[in-house]
Amino acid sequence: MDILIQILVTGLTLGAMYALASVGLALIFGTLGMFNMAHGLFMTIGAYAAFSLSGYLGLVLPVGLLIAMAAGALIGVLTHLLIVRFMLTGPNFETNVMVATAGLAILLQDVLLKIFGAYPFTQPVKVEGTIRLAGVAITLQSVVIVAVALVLISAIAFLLLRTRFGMTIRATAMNREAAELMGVRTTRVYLQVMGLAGALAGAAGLMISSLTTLSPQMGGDPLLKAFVICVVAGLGNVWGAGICAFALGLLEATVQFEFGVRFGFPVMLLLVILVLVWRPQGLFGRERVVRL
Amino acid sequence: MTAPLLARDLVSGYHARPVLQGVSVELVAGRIAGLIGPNGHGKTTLLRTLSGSIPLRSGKIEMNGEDVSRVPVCDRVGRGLVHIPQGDQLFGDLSVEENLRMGAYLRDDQKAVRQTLDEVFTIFPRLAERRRQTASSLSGGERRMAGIGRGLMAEGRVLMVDEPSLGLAPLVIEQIYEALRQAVQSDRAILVVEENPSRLLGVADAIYLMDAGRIVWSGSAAETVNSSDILATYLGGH
Repeated sequence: MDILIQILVTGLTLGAMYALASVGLALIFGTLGMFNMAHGLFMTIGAYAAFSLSGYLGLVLPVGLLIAMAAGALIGVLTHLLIVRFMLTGPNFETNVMVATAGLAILLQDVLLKIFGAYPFTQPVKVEGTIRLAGVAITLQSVVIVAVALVLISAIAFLLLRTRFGMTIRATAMNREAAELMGVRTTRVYLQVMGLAGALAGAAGLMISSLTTLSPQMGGDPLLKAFVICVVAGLGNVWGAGICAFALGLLEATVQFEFGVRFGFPVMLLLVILVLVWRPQGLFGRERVVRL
Repeated sequence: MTAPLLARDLVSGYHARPVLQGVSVELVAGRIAGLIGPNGHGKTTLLRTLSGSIPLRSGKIEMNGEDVSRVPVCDRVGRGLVHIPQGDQLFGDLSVEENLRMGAYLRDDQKAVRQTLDEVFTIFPRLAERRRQTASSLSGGERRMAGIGRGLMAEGRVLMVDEPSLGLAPLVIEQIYEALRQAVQSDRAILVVEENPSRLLGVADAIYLMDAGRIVWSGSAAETVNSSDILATYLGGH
């Protein structure tokens, strides 16, 4: 029983962080049709922003979270304004933007390295202490991570499904040209999506750095896992990404406990290969039906 | 009185290949104009150029005397230019009602929008029955109705409809043309594209015949019946 709770808590914590990372990635892919290679750096920048600014504004978590999200949103918006916007209508957008955002990721990582150095800092913005549940010690930070992820993802779900703004995003994702013909300024929708996804990434970065450490390359691993999750869910499927994130988090925790930490990621990758063989469109993806 | 939509000497196309080679059309408020011509001769390209989806190379597009040649698509919609594209282009995962509401995206008065929604449901009762279904689950005829209904939701002053009868059963075609006839009001102009001219003869007030990227003939509906140019174009007499 103790072990089960331990695995559950670890899995949900991992899943919550993966969900924050991959929902944003899926939102960008689903709306703009681009794979954002700089998404990991959006997370890193969120974490560093909270680390360096919360010293002035107070080390409380809500402030740190807001700073991280604002920094993530800002870098997302800037990425759209300075890079993506100019490539949207050009030929081979998918490939070009992938290379461009990969380049941006390298650049940003080096800038962070230049400013902060390679020393792994600990994230000061976090909650200390533990609570006991059925005899198992659970860190408060794990509870915070799961709560933050659930609140933010519910907020995104509400925004997308229940508001006019969300309907506009979904319509633009389904058919950009038709959305334009309705009078939607789709470049602005893209800008908003990049901001939203950036904010989620910033929050993810803060949460991840609170469990590990801050370093310029800290976003690489979460980006890879978020990508894996998006592929398993079906690229661009926002709901599927959220569900798969928690499922894979729980799976990873179980495998790590039963077989050892080093088997966690390989099992995840094996699962991706199986999914791609069995269902190339992903678990929640739909086969494209062409109708005349 | 200035025309709701006036196009002069339009040249546009895809990549290096111009499709339109100097096209001029004028729409009149309260009238339906028909654009006919064989497939692949620039009818859809003309609509896409007018709505702004394809950039204009040269020529001029005016709405009520105002130059909109360089105005982006969404702002042309804001000025009342509504393009109902070929193949419906519905938002597949949105419900029928959400699709219709997207048509009124730029309208702020929600009470008036609801009223237009009721009007659309009166014209197409089938859409009212299917209002909660996703658009991708509709049949071909229902999708066309949803497409036309979505265009009507904008309450635009100029309505451009691309091949409304394509691939539909005669009964449905009759229903759709009845809707267009109702949609012409004193301040609204309509441009309908069809490959088959016979559909337009009882409906359109003026006919433009397009061939190889040019308007080769235009006239009233009555003149069309007697014109040998029409037959010549379709039978390859040029």
